[in-house]
Amino acid sequence: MRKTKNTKYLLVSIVFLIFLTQTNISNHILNSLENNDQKEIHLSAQTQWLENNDFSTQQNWFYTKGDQGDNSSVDANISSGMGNFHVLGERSVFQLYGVPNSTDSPNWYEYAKPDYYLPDTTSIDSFGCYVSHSWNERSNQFPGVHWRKNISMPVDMSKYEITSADLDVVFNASVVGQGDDSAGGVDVLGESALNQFGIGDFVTFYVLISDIDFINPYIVAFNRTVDLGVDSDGLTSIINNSLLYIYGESVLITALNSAFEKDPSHSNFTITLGIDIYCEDNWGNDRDTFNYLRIKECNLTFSYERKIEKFTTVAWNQIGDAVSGENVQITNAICYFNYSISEAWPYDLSPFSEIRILINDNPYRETIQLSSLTTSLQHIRFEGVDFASLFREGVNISISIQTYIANTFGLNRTITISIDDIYLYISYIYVKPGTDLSLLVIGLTVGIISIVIAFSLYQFHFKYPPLVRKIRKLKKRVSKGKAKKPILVNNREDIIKNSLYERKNILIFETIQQEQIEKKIEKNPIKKEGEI
Amino acid sequence: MPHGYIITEWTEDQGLVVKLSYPEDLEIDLDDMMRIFYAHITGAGAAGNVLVRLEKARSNVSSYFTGMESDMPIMINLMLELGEDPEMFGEAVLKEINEDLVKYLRQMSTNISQSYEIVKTIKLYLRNTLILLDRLKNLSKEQRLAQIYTSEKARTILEALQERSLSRRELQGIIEEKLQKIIPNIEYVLDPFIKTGLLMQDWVEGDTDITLFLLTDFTIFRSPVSKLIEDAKKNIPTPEVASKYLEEVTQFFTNYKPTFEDNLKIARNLMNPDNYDYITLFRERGYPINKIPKGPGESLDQIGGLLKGMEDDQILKVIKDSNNDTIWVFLLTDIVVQTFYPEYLIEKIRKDRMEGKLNKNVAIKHLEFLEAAYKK
Repeated sequence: MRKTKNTKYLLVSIVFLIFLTQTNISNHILNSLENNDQKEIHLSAQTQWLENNDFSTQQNWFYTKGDQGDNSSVDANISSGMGNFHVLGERSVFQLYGVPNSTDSPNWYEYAKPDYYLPDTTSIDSFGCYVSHSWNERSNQFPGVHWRKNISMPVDMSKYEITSADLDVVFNASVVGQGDDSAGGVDVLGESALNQFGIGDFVTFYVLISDIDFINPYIVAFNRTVDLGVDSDGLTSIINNSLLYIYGESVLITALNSAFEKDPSHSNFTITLGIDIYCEDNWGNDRDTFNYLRIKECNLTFSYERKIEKFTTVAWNQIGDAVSGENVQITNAICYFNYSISEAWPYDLSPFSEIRILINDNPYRETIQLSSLTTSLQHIRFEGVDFASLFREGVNISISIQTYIANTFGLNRTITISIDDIYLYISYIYVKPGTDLSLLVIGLTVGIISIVIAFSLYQFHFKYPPLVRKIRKLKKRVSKGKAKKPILVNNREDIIKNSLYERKNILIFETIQQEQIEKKIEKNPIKKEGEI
Repeated sequence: MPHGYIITEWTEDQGLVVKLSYPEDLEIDLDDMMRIFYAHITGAGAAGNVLVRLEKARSNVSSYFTGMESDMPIMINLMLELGEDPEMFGEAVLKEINEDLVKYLRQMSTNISQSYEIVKTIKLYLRNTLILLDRLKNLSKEQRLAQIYTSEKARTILEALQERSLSRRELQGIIEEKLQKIIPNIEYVLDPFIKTGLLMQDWVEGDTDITLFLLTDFTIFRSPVSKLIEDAKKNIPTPEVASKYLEEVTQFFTNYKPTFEDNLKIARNLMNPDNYDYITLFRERGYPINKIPKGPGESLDQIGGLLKGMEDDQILKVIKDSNNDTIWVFLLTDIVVQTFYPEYLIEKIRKDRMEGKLNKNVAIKHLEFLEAAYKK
């Protein structure tokens, strides 16, 4: 309780002391200034620091783009009396449709499937890609053919994001089923009187997407016949126009992305239509006849949107004069402007994108989230000590209003952010050189510190007698478990002896006096009686 | 104030009978008498002291029993008020009173023809004793400290606490072990310590018993009487007497070294209210023997006996003036009860703490108390 009281007393005393001394210093300085008839301070009015505040002309303002992200996805201009930032979104659709080598789908070329022989007959005619083949104990037991088309996109697809894709491929087929001779036709599982049947005869139709060098192609559509040529179909077994099985949109997009990624210009890819035939050697005179195998149509569609890269920035800037002069001090700064957006910002795609204000390239902590913008004009005001601290005397004041993209996302349309009516007010004082108070201030400060130190030392240390200091020190050491050093104090016996000695001390004078008299008597025996 | 004394005796044929009571109208119920008797014979031993609370008589009784094996099994019962405790008078005083009474009663039983006179003497003795006990309740601080010094129990407590702070339970255990007797109510023994400010008792966090901390220590010794020495230096009361007085005092203190026995002797003198009055009186000046102030009803013989005892104890000194044949009485040695700050405890606390003999919280608490005590 006593300790708390002392501490409180001490704190109050120190605060009081500091208050007194600081007040004295402040008063002294202020008095000195006032005594000079206020000639030493000139308070400026709030000077508006910017030109062309309302973007009525193309003057004074210039825009810059940052060196990160993708500068081509943003732009800026001044129009309709506003400074605009454009976030350049875009959506396009690629379509390939129709019969190969028709007007809508030109430039398909035939290739032998690598490491395969071509079937007996291959061509592209007005009905599509065509194959016929007949096998009778010859070597070309499993031929294959490719028809490829190289496609060039009008843009660099690395700056775009494929958002959807679709593929439709129509095929049909006709083979000899039951056989027109003893040798039989195409054999499939389930037929009667099969001789040396393994996996049977079949045809595989497929579509590949790859880069134009045909490295690591993706199979995106596929069909392997199962009952084409079954005996129950009679002499001719057919598949009418049917769609290939498509592996799915995500596989399609992945295949396309992979192809674009491998392409140096990120704009070319190859689509390949393929037919593979497999003829099983069932017995000595086995004959497999494929009347026609055809891929009739190939329809590929995908859409893509402009990719807006994170860290992309675009800013409107203006460089103003410096607040100059030897004894100038900026005391406050206020900036305000209006802002709006052409449509609601896609918060889901980029929640953290924002408008920033930078003073001399230093960003101010307060920002405006793009997601908070509306199509109506809104108003923002920056001010306060933190804001003012961004400004430096003697340096040209540059202000930047910057749009900052925080996330990478695909944007299908252009969004425009507009700013207008930007005003920057700077307050400053100009102090004329007056009496140099620095020595006085230093002296007083040193004095105050010395007094506080002395006061503290007295309060915490010298106020207490040495024994109390020992106790207080020991108390601390006991608390920390470090009281190893013995403490020099009087033991009980010594204290009692000293007390007794002090009490008896009153008699010492008598004893000494007596001894002195006796000594005198010894030295001067004649005078002894008289003197005593 | 004590109600009085009732002395009972155990006889083979009549059992427990009241032998004497003072004041004479002081009565005790038979049940209460038996209760005291049972307290003795069911205690650690038949002989000795017990303290019994009697609800019917609304009294505390401090009873001394000579024992069933004694040739004269008597109980001397000091009837006290309910809140009173014999410790407040000092065990030495009560012991002396009991011994005196047993001596008188023994005379009575051996000298039947003198019984009447002896009873009268006992009653006079008891009257004075009761006055003395009443005065003992209102002792000065130095007398209380002297009382502590004369009590074996209190001395044991002091010695224990000069080593380290202890809980009440620990202290009780130490005293009982050292003195080989049960201490039923240690609060009464501690009372003078608290009243004189020697001890502080407080709870320490985490402990289940109150802890006792020594904050002031004391000792007792003889000292020259400063006022009388100063006067003597100025030849007061007369050059011859002053010179003799200085000579006597110097001679005494040249060889004086305090001893326990001597300290006990002077402490008893100090504690005795009559002696204390005279010590206080003689501290200021010496008196011719015929001019020593007397209390109302006090005879010169009574004073003479008292002063003689103090002279024998070398507290007073009689000095004769050869010129006018005046006998002067001086205080040869003052009795000083010196309290002092127990700074030696600081190192003991440190050492005990380092050796793990002392709880950290107790150590800190004791240091805090010592710090506060020093500042006072």
